[in-house]
Amino acid sequence: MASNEQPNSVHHHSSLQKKIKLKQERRQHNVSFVMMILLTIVAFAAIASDAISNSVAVLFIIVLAGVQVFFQLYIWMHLGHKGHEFPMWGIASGLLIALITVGTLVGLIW
Amino acid sequence: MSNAHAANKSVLWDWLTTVDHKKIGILYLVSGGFFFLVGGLEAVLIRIQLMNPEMTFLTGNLYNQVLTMHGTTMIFLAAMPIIFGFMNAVVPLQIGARDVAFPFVNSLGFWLFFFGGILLNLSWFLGGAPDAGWTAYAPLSTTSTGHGVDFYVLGLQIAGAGTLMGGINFLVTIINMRAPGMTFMRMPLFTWTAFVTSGLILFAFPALTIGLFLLMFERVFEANFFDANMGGNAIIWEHIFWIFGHPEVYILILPAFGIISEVVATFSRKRLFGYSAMVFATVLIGFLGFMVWAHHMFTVGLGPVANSIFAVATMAIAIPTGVKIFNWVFTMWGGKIRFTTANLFSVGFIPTFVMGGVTGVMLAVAPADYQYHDSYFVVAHFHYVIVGGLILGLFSGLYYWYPRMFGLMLNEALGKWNFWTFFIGFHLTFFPQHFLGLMGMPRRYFTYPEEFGLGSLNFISTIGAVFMTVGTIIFIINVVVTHAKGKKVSGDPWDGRTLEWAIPNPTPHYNFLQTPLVRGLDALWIEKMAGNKKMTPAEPVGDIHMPNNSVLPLFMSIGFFIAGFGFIYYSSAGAPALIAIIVGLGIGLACMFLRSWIDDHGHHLHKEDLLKEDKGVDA
Repeated sequence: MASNEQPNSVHHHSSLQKKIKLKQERRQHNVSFVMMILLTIVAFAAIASDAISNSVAVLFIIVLAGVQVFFQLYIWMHLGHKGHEFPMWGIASGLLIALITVGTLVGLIW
Repeated sequence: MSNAHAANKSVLWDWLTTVDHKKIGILYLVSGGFFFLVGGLEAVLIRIQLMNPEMTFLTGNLYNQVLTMHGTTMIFLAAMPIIFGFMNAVVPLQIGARDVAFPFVNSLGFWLFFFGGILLNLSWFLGGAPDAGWTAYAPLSTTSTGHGVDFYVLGLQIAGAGTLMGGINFLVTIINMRAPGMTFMRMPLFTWTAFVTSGLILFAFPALTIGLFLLMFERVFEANFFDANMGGNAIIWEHIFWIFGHPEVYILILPAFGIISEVVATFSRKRLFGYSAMVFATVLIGFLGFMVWAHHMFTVGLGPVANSIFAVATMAIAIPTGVKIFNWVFTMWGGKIRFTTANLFSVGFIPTFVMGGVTGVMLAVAPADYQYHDSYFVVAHFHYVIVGGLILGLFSGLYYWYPRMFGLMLNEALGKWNFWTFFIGFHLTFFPQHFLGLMGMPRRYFTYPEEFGLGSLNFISTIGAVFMTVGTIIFIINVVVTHAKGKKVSGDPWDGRTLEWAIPNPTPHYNFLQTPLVRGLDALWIEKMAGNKKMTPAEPVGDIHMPNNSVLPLFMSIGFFIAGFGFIYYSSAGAPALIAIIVGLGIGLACMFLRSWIDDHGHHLHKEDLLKEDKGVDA
């Protein structure tokens, strides 16, 4: 959604430092991309095979999902960078509300 | 690129492709107004059927359809879009921005809502409307025959996606696009309520999305989420619906609180009393709104512990709401009050909403709720908060911001007629319904026997509905008269306090020639008190960057509209429906692809043209 960005305003003065940083980031992106595909395959395998019991498999893929969320938010969406305080607030309050809601719901139904 | 090429195209094309928040606001307002009339017509039909005992005007399943569509239309297709209309028209101006953060998404949000609403209402002509109530409780909704409930599911899914986009857009806009000096605690209260409402939309609408998907899979693809025979649980639908549904009522009422806060302060010529308490109360209501959904389900049998917790949480909301009521009254106290139509609606709102709030606390008492539940007492309660609260607030906002949105002043004499007929009609309609409920009249029934003695109060209620209809018609006449020969007004007809009144009339499409510098709460008022004729600019006059119009949102929405039809008829029509699904989703995806592929950097308005235009406006 880059409609508000002005053309040519981004990469004017990319110094050496910036270049190195970009290279690092690119490597992180590649690594996390491969990792995410691997994690998805592992998750699929955990459910498809009968090697581990269902209840363990569910816990296992929830953990994998957590790792995927981390990759998504921090590597791809740059949550760790400066100026992301509001998204952090949003995610935290969303998690809080989701936790209370799902917790109560589970408590009420089962 | 310049804006010159846009002027060559036709007016219709301009409205279909616009990404200007002011025009999208008007689109929301007009289509929301249209659906308000449709929902109002359905309400009148309901009141005619209930006017006398054992009427046969509108019976059985047809009554169920009208009742369901009245609720669904009013909530999703009338109230929500009119709120979005105001948010679009006012919020960017109040924070000193030139547009919303994502103008393209803004347009997409509108068109999705519009086609979702059209899809839902087409059910009338295609074999019958949904008939399972606006809450669509399972198993009534899962076993309802025909395609009515499918229209409900798909129509709301598409409209809901648009609403969710709108909510996200306003969150980003308010966080990122405030003018220099416009800190959070200097934002006008309408912007604050728009902000909190958008947050609630962000957290509440996904629950509806999931619920509708489950219902869709159950109806279209024979899943069994809510079927107890297959290990499902019908109560889950109630939970999911109300996890969405309760925040939804705060999504509706908070912007009305914001409107009242602006109007009461302006027409009392006083700063809003207890601004920071008002902000805190707004946020608190938003937060607590997520903790109370099970009060709709006291009679389900959740047990005394759950019922008590939700009862106490519900009563807690009365505290921040009470804070607001007192602050409005204190704002008026000692003020130089002008009873314009806008202010009449606001002042009428306050006691009316208090009455709705009091019955709300009554309903929160879980043991007592076993008596009130599913009776007309509940109907009276939620009409007091939604019509007596939200709709009075929206009328107030209309009269207040009409000069800003259209450059014309609505007729005040007709406005007062509008207020008194609507206000008296409202109380006449819904006040007796409290007693009908206490006398045992259940909601959603299409008739009642004569010997129950419910006839006279129902008759009074229907007379009230006639008054409300007259009020609405007077409003329409007012709009027509205003546009036929209304007088143009200045940019600041009410002696306003906030930034939206700092702009000349008609509003330039770039809003602010120079981004204003905000020096405190009620930014314009501060400048007026300092003897300045204009806002102090925060930047020199320069080129202004604006987004380009796009027709993609329209086509994308049409794509999903076609796919929606396919899903609705998939269970009965088979192959043709599948083709509609593929074609529709294909159009949607193609539009998404085009949007991602084509670089669209918008255009610049040049300084020289702007200065020329600005002189033209002043002269």
